[in-house]
Amino acid sequence: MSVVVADRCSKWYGHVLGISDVSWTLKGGIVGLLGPNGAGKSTLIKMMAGLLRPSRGSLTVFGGSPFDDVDVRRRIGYAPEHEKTWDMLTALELVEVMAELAGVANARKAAKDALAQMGMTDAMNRRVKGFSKGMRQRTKLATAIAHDPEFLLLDEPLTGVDPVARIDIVERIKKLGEAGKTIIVSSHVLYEIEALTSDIVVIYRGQVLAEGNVYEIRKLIDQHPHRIRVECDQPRTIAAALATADHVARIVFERGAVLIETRDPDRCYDQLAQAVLEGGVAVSALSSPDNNLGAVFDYLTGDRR
Amino acid sequence: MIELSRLGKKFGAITALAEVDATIEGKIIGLLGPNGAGKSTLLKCLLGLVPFDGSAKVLGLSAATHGPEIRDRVGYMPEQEAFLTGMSAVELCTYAGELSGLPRTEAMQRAHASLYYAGLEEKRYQPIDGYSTGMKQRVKLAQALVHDPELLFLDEPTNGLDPRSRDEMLELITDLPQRRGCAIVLSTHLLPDVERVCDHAVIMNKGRVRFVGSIDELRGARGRLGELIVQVKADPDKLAAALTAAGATVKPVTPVQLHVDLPASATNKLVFQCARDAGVQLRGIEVRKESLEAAFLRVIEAA
Amino acid sequence: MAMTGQIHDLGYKRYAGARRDAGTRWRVIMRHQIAMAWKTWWRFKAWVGMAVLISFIAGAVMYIFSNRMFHGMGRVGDAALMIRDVALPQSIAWYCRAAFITSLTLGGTIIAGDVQSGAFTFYFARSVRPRDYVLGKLGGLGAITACITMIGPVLLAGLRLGLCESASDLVDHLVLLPKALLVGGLATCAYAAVPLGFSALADSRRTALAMWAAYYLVGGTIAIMIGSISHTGWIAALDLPTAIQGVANHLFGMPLIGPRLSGITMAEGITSVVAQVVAAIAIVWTAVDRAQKTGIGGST
Repeated sequence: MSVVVADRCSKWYGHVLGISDVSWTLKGGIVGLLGPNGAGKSTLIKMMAGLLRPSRGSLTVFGGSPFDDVDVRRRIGYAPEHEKTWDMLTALELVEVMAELAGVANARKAAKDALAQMGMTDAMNRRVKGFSKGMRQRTKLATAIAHDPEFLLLDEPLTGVDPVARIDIVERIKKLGEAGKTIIVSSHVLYEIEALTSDIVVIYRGQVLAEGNVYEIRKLIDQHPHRIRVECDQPRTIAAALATADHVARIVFERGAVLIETRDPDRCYDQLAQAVLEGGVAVSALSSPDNNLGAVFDYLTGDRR
Repeated sequence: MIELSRLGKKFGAITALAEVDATIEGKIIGLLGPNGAGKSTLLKCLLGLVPFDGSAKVLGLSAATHGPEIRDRVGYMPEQEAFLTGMSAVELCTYAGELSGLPRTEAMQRAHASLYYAGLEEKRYQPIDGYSTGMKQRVKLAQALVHDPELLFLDEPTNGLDPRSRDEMLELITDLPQRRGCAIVLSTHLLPDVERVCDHAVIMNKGRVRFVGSIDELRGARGRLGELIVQVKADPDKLAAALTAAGATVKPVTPVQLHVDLPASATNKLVFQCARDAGVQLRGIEVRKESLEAAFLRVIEAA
Repeated sequence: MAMTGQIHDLGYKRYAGARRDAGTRWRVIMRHQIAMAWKTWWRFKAWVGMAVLISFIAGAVMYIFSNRMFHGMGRVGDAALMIRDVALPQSIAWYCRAAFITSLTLGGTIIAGDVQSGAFTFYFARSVRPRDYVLGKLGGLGAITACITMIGPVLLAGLRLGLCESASDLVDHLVLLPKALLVGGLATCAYAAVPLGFSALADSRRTALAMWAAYYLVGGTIAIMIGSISHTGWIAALDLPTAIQGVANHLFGMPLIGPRLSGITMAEGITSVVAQVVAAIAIVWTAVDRAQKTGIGGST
């Protein structure tokens, strides 16, 4: 069964558009939620968390409405971007209170376990007030998992976190995914998403623009033929060998390299290998500079009018 | 550009900075370190805002005695909100210029120029209170530039920006040293930003400076030539077998990636040959370099 | 005819001019403060209007009752006091009210507002020292308040001089001008510095404003009550408008009528105001000095 099903779902705040006519299914796993500011990401997250009701259409989580159904909400863990915490509580107290509010039977134990899972056992009896950003993010995550939900919504879980803590928190999120939880991670920092997953959903102008595996999406972007960059000692030899191929859209020379844009990367790589061996070309590097999340996002949101 | 000698600062019992000795030069310098490493204390000392032990010189001026002069020559783009309510971007930047000692008309002209540079064209007459996060970041950059500083401190300049705006901000930052002749110290937690933009780095941990030097020095620009990362379309094991037979050491990493150490006399040509022989399509070859993240961790953990 | 074309280099030009001396920063801040106050109608312009109205009414009263026709009516009580002499000191209370309203719309939130919006980071990253900020804000607020509490009384004093019947009368009354300046100056200091002090006591605008309003209205009322019940002048003088009115009445020879004002000596009035002003400035100074050290650096 799918975790989230949105069916022609729209949300308006007066004249302000949240999301518009979104039909989308989330089956499971760790999925990155991306989109420019104001595109509708937070609206979608809040609707999945049960904080907003659709203006039109429907959005169901585990088959029920998160806004109306408490049982559905209990299976969801939400870690919002901004949270005003009660700074004078200790981490343990804070998570415990939130767990109680979520209806957990043995809240203290659940809070302890959740904090342990987030690596906060040593710090759990300290007041939140003195925490670094990394510790706050971890506490927030602990709050979201204390009631053992199956579905996690994490909004910018890594903002302000230093590189050491970042690696740790990414690992912990991955572990949660491996344990079978469905996780949506929303972030503007594409490398964070890349570290976690290759499955994405792109929200643009209130609608779902693209979804699925990044590399598969890349293949679908025709207006931008695949770029293949060859750093070598004879760029013109390579260029000459490929210039007559019909799948090649453009060849650009750089210093010490040649950049080929092709509509059929499969054939291109084969022909490239052949040209290298036949021409005795010394290749120092071979790469596809735009086969990554950053480029895909750029292409998807860049050209649209 | 920045010279520190036995710089120390204690807040009561807490040692924020401990005997820091460093000479920092470069065009765009990344200032890195875990939270609580002492970065913000260092900044306060360099701007002459707090007293400290030892000596600190910025642009040749002593921070202990010439704080205000240093601040006239240095621009600061803070991480947090730093505005005055009820002003437009132009008014704020003009005020900023005047507060740094520029005469009024000069401040006004430069305010407009800085706002253009930062990409705020039509919106610059509107009150800042209504700006989006991206626009606010641009204003913060503009107000740091208006008084023609020789050195800029940027604190998490891409905070809250969506990927497109982040790109644009990083482009602006990369451009600054050529366009405006100023050097930049970039304090951030985002190592990929540092990799993209910086040529030097300073790494701090627990109140001490652990590394000062170029990015290349930090992670070894050229990894050894024979150590490669090879990407294939499929069937990595076939390629691995062919390479091993030719004398290379191969370690599979992912279903499409191998780490390959070539034998002493071989070149990358060997990889192409083995791929052809094994009938495997090559999709990527690059020299294995330590990622900046790994280098950073190495420095921190060595402390 | 030869064709030519040109592209101009719009590249960046470094600033090679002189920079203003650090000692002038406070003036920039002061000008800015005044410009900000002038922006909306409700912050400041309306209350200047009120002050102008007060001056106009008081002036009209002075003029009308100076006319020979009304001489008979122009007496107050037994003392040989004319309404035209009474108008100035009596108007002081009204100027104080206008100044108080301005302190609510403007002065009482200045520093808290700057804390909230992050302005200190903005100021202290530049070559602004705490003393420049304090001096600039005080100067700005002082100039603004002076428009209400200083100009009015001085104008009225001038009008009174103009209504003198003879040259010797004029000379006798010349002392009115410095007296008006003194009272006006006292009121200006009080209504500029003390609300500014309160704005430095809290991190939120609303709290700071509430504290100032409570201190002034509630605290003032309590001071008056205790002072009048116990017939102790200096306690009643803790209420700012009372102290100022007391000083004015002494200066202009008005009897101290009423339980509120009785028993306040001029010394008590002046001391009370000066003490509160000094305390306020001290609070502001400490708060700003602290802000300079913590304002920069952010979360790491």
